[in-house]
Amino acid sequence: MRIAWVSPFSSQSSIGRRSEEIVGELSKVCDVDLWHPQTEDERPTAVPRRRFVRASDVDPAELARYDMVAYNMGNYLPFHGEIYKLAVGTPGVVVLHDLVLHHFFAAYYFEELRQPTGYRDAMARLYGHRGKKLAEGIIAGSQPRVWERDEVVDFPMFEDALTGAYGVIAHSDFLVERVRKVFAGPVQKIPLCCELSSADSGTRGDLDVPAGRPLIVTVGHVNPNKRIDSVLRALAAVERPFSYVIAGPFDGPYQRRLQGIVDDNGLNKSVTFLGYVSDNLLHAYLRHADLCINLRYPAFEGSSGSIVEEMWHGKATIVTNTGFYRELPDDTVHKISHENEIAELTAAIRLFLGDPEERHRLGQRALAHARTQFHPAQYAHRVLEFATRAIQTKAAIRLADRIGSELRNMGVTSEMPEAASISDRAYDLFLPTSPAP
Amino acid sequence: MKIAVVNNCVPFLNGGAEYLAQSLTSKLAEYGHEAILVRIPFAWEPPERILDSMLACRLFRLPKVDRVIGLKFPAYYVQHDDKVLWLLHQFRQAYDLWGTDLQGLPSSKAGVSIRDAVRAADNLHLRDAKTIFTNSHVTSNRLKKFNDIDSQVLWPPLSDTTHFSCEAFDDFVFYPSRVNAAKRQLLAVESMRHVKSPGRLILAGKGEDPAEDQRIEKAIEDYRLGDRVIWERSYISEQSKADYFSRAAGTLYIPYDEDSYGYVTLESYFSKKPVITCTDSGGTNVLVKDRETGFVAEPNPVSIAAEIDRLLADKSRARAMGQSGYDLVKKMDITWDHVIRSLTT
Amino acid sequence: MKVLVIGRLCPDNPCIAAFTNTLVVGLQNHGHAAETLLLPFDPEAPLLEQAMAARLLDVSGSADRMVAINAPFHLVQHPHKILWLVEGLEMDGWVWDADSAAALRSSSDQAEFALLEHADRIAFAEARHVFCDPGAARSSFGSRYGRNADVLVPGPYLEAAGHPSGQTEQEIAVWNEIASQLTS
Repeated sequence: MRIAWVSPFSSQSSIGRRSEEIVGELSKVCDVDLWHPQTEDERPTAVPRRRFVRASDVDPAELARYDMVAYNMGNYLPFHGEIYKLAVGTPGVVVLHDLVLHHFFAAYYFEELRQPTGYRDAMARLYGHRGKKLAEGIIAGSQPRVWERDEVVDFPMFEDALTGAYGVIAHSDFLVERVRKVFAGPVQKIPLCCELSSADSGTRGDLDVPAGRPLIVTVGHVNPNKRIDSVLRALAAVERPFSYVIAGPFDGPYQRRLQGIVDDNGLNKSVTFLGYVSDNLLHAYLRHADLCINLRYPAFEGSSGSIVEEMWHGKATIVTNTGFYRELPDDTVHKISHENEIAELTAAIRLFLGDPEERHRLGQRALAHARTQFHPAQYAHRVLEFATRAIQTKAAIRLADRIGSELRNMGVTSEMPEAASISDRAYDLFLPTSPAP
Repeated sequence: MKIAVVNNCVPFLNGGAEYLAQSLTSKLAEYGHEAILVRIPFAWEPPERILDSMLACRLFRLPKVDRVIGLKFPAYYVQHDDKVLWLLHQFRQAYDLWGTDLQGLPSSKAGVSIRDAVRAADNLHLRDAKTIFTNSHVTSNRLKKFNDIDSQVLWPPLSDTTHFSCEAFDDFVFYPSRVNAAKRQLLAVESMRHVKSPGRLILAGKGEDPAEDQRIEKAIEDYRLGDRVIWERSYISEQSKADYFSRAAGTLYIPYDEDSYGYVTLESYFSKKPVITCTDSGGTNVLVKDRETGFVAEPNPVSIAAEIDRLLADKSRARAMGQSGYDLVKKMDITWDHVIRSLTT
Repeated sequence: MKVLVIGRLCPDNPCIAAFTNTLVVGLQNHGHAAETLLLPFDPEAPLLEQAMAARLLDVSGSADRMVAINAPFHLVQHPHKILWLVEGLEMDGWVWDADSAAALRSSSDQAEFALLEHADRIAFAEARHVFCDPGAARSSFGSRYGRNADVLVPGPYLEAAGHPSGQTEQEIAVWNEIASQLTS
């Protein structure tokens, strides 16, 4: 099996971090080449790599030589824009990291293509009249940008990332279910993986945190759906001392709002916004954390690399009972409801700050779960298993394209019953009807 | 060169086009080419099968041939970089027969889709051929009219003419052909009611439609023509057919609107016998010139009977017209030499 | 009854024409109308497309029985289809051909073969009867397609254009029995 693994590979990309682990394991079981957009802060790898600046630089014939091309898609245009264009030109398997790709497509249409009508047409195509009206309102400035609001989960736009794909890998049951509603090809859930760095993470004293206080950590890009404002309000009600570190890049408006909450509640000595941190430093904070808080609402991602890392570090983690987090066993993470967020969060923080033993027990159960579910070797094996199914679909799609082309030349369109009949017969003849495992 | 002659077929049915395909393949071999005949089954009932057959022909692959010669729809869609067409048949139901009793396709939305698909595929894929020949000016005119494609007429010769001869002009007209509604043997029988001279009509051919056979049998019986109409229904050999031609006063060949002159016409002229045809018989008018190489009647029993009587009444004129017909065929170079040269350059 | 024998057109393999000619003569001797259709196939061209082409053909209205002698024409549709798979009659390039299977160089080739195997399963299931000679990959059919093949050994072939009068009485009897099995 020859696989092209296409992924962002910047040091700042968490998907890149996952890909570094995955291709390392894949290379032990098949021929894999890593393809990634050129970047100055690229990650190291021993796997053969191909860099590209633009999708148009890549000769499709080169990608056609692989049995399977896997495109890692996430909700960030700078990392995934050229990958998306490559996928459109040479269909493959999409590794769908996020449910919501609306931010990606909004940036794509408004900033890169400068074609607001393209955005409107996409919204109309995907979500009908409702989507079209919303898009028109956004373009006219009469409606707020939906990608800055929770309602964006109703217009996720991930569907457009799957055009022409012959398979989809998603990292949670809930995303697999969403995909299966719109994608007829094979879909596989593979739990996201993580590999702990073996680098020495130093002592807690090396970290820039006050001594003698429990260390609470939240990792990831600082944006509103991580509910950090709620975390700060909950922490403000906690009587015990703590040190709360938010490790992840942030931008202006939300961070200013958070800083306001910190100032208003006198938390300046207890709360630190680190901004972007290296992988090693991130691991160091996780290693020395006493408690992790990892809230999401709404759940935009297909899975969560941060919770996987927190569980691999054997940490007690408080999560929102939604999306991928809901699927984790109840005894491996502490789940709170969104509806009663601050009250439950406050109670949970008090519980764990007051009971180190309980923290430890929860963390150990999390680690045990991670060891069985989140290992990169297991991920690689499951990718390989899925590839066999996916490339059968690829062969069937190639036939369907050929038939479609001939029928189109005869003026027979896909809406006509004659085309549907031929398509059904081809499908029945060549593809087994048993559902995917 | 290695050549594949590609034709459609209906298994167990052989007509003029099948005979021509086999003859072409044999003649190509005689002229030193490696020739194979590829017959692709074609079913047009139910109409949805038409699209299936068209698509199948587009997906088939011919291994290791230098040239493809396509003859009929939809076999001529087979892909090849070096393709020449000798067009015997488009799917006329999508063209000139659309809107007539012989339309064959439903007038529903589905039928219209199929009609349009045939036209679209012809417009595109006929142009894949390097050169297009047809078997008659009727076929060429239709191709030009409906598809705006130019073509050259390449007249189909007989496979073997050595066994034809002119021995006598006995009192009968001969009509050898598959028996069906389009060939109008029933009209021939009805004409015999009005023939005043004591001549006979000899039909030779197998029926394709039991209902039509019954109509002919009934007509012979109802008009008490049992002595005057002989129907040889069992298989007759080429030699037997040639014997009939050699002794007939002339040939009756009155199909409806055929594309080409038909083998019967050629066989008659190689036997130096005149042909009676009809004004609406189509391509027979290429060779059958009224009062020169035969007679052209109105397509009704009285008119046809009058021409039969005229033929039987003047045997020397019949002989002269038969000779004129033979001379015309020679002048038109309806030979395999010309055909093979045209198809292989 | 009318029996149509369908197989691959292989001008370079005289066995095919010889076999089909002898089979047709045998069927005719047994009192049936029989005809051969040898259809285009290129083992080096996309197999799925050619398999689909075969599947799009339906000879239901043309004959009472259809005997398919090699792939992909075992996929042609007929309600009374018989498969008779004989070694030497162009099995190569298909799933049954051990050499082809061994020569599958890439996972993509294997994927294509998996789809063709699925089509084979359907063709085998819909056939009224499956025969093969001892040389064909008979042992694999049962496990692969859930269907065992009965042995039917062909008699000596006439030459491709051979005249039936060239057959001995014993040869005629062998093919008569074969015709009987195929049309029972």
